[in-house]
Amino acid sequence: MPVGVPTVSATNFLCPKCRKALVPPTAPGPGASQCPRCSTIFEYEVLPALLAGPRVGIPGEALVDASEASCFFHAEKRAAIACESCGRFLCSLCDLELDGRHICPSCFSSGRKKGTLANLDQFRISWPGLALLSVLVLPLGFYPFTPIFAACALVFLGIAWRKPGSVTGRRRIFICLLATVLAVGELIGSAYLGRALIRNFTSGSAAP
Amino acid sequence: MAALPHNSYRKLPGAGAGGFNRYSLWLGADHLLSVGGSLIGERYRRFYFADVEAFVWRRTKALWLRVAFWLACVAGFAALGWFFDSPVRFVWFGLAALFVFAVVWDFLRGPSVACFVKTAVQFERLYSLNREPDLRKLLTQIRPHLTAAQAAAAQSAVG
Repeated sequence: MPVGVPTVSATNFLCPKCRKALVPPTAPGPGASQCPRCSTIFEYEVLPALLAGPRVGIPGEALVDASEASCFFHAEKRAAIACESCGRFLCSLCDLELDGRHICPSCFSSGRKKGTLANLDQFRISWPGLALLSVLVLPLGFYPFTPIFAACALVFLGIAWRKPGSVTGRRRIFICLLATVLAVGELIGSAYLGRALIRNFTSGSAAP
Repeated sequence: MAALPHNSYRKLPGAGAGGFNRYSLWLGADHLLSVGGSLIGERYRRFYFADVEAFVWRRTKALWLRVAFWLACVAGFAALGWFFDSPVRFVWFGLAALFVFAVVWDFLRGPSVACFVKTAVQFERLYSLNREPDLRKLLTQIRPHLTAAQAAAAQSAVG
């Protein structure tokens, strides 16, 4: 087995129980070890990246000739590629590869702000889940407002219909259906109850 | 090893739950996606194949604690069934049998583990992986992807 040299990146090879920093394995592949502090026996599978050391960014090449195209952000560096979003020329340092596309740092930051780069999403609201919460849980505590919650749930379901769901592509169809049925049922029930109350009130007030 | 198109994911073995959250792990074109979600929303963490340095795991006592709880339930319901001298006793015995089934099911799913993924700057627990058979299955499935992404790293490590 090849013997690698522990690198800076290997310093966070920790005990999975007490988090003590351990001497990392020196060969890729599976293995087992014991923590000297807490005596926990643990297993691992080491990959070549641990032994290869940290990845280093490629610096842009310097311009040799004035006629060569230069990087938009570094005038003294040779352009290696064009941004696939805005078309600016980029050196190797400014080229960011994401989702198989090459983009510049400014398109990257604007894409992050607008949420157009799916691979940068860290959180997504589940609108079907919120709709279900509105019709199933909230009326338990605040039942006089049930029709309002049901209307909110229908709005959330409308948003869920238009907005992309989970990053993984899962659609919460069952939750959507359940929330729709409950919201419509609660609205019809509230209307029926409201009508009965009004009738009862008017007939009661009309009586001598 | 079929490469997945960008922004499409395939579900990997294992599923975990803690509090109101549910956890799962997905295979992307060039990364693993750890999803932690509740009814309100989903949180994502990505581990790129080229950056994953190791998987570390240890066995936990969760299985034994759960089995102890199931067995206590079995004993409790069986005692109730034994105590009552009426047709209701069969309900208690039925509940006890249900918990016996839970014990068997828990054992069949394999030992419980706590699994961590290590990159150059992270040592993160994967809450979706809490059974050893699931972990082994996952490693078998993702090893070709990791190997392909780290082929250059492997060469430099040999050199």
